Amino acid sequence: MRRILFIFSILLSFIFNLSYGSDTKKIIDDLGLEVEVPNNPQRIVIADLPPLVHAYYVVNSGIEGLVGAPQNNALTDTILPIVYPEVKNLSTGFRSGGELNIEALLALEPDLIFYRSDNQQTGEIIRSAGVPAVAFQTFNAHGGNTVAAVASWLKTLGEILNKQETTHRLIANAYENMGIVQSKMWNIAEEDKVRMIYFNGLSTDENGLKVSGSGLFGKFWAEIAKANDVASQDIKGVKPISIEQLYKYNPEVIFLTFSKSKPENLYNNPLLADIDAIKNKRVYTAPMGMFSWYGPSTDVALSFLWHAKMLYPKQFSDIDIIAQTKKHYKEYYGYELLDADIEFLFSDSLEILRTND
Amino acid sequence: MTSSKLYITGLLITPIIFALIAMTIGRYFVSFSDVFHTLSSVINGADSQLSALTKNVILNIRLPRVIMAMLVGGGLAVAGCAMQSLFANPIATPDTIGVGSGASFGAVLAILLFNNIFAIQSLAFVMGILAAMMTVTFSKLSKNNSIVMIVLAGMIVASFFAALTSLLKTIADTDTELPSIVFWLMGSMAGSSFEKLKYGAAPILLGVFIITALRWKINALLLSEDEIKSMGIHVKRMRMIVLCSATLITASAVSMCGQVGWVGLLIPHLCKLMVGNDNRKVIPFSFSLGASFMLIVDTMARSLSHAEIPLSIITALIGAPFFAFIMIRLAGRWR
Repeated sequence: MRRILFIFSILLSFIFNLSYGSDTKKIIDDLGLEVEVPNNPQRIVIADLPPLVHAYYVVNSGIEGLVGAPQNNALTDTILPIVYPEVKNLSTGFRSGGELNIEALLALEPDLIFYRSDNQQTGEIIRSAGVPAVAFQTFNAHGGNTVAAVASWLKTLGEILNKQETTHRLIANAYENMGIVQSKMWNIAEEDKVRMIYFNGLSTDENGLKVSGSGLFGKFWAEIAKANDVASQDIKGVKPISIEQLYKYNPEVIFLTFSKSKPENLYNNPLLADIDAIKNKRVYTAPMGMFSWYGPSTDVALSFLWHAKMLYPKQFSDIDIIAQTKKHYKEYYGYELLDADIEFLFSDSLEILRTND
Repeated sequence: MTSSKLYITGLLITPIIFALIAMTIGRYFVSFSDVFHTLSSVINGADSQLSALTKNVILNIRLPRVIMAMLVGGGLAVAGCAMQSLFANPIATPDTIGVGSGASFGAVLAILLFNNIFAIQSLAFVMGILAAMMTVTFSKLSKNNSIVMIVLAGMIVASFFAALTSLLKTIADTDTELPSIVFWLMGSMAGSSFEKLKYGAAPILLGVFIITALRWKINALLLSEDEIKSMGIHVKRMRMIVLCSATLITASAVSMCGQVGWVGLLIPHLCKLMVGNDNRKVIPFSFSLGASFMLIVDTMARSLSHAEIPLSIITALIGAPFFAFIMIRLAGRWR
């Protein structure tokens, strides 16, 4: 009798454990930490790393389950609120500009929090509040490789949300387009490479020309499309440069991202008049798609083509980026881009994009 | 006897009352009875029947922050008090003689090079001491030991280290490192944790303990050098100990929560208005009042708006008009 009871109790506890254990699961985050996350998280908050919002939306086909994200231009200045107006309902007040207010974050009653892997202090505080915290690789990890960055986000999000399918297609598509660009440009001679520069206005103070140097995305786009990112030899990270230095680089193409200036502001600046890119009116703003096409986003497949075409319009004249963009948005986000949306995305590059063979 | 006991009890109890009130205020709603039950459950081990999140907010988020606010506020006030006597100068504080800037430079350097709390603390201390030494040396070289000279020397040293810090800011990564450095330089306790307190609390307590223990002798520092010697006090050694203790406190505070201005200047003067110039009273009083003041400021920083407000903004907004008032009241005493 005793033995039967004993076996019975073991069986019972086993069954109990099974059903109990299925409430959470263990995942390894980008810092290599094992995190026990709820199986079906209901109230997720993104503590920092704003582009995660659109990645979440794409993996989850909606923002259900997400309650908060940091206030950022990734939520307001991109096409995201047009494609998916519900992002405006996210609570954003717990972090605006400055530092995270941990109690305002906890007041959202989150059951899972995402944070940026280089912000380890945030992770420690969240853990001390007893809420599981998953680290996501920072914006500019992977030495500027945007596909690797966005793939790592999508992979972790997919594990947490139990949705992997979109990720595989999307990343495969990105590498496919990267291959298209590389196969067209692989044998270009060194002297034929276009000199380009990427200005990034994201950094904290707004004065001066801030250039994106080595280790960042500008360099990555240049490498894939075989252009010469002239500033990356001297500059690491994002640094301001002088106008004289810009004349020394004399870029043929200038890209802008997160910039308050528009190409016209540069064209109208008499001090810049003799720079090749200004003379030939080849200044382009990175489209504010699901996130800026400068950085890692679920639009990364399109971003390869767009940068290549801006740099080498002739070589890529057979590629209709507008059509591909419409297809991409329909397939991955279930959204039909309107003409107004196309204008919004490609404000200053429409002319080139419309000259297709 | 009863009145002095009452006085000591008052000094101890005031910050604790402020701390308990501060623990009930914040963006995440916690009632007074929640705080009471959680704290008493820690003491007597009983289950407080509250949600895990509420308990964690009280014990792991607010408690270390409240303790840090008390230590930093009290510590900086005591350091300011000690420096005012040390230099026989009413506006000598860790900030005005450059220790704050020096320590900040050391801390930013350590953030960029090593990014671990021990290195930040050590380098903040070394640079703080270096800045204090430079200020003392410059003011002595001028052969004019007036109040103005030491303040001028402090300004020179402070702006030198501020420039070095700015230089480091241009090297820092603008996306990841710079925003945190900028915010940190304005002072914030948002990163409080017991982990940080483990390294930062001991140096502050040690500094406060030494200065408090020496408060009788610190009174004597205001006398002329011959008079001090006649009392059997080794002047140079004494000055060095006080300077090191005050720098230890400042560097440790800077390494935990950045540069918090005004406390070291405002609080000692406020105390002198209340209890007179005797350091035996002013020093413990400064700790108590500084701790209470910092609790109020930090509670405002974390609960006035959704986002954190840097501490120095609040201390300056409160401190500047308040100090103007004190300055007018005390103007006659300063020469």
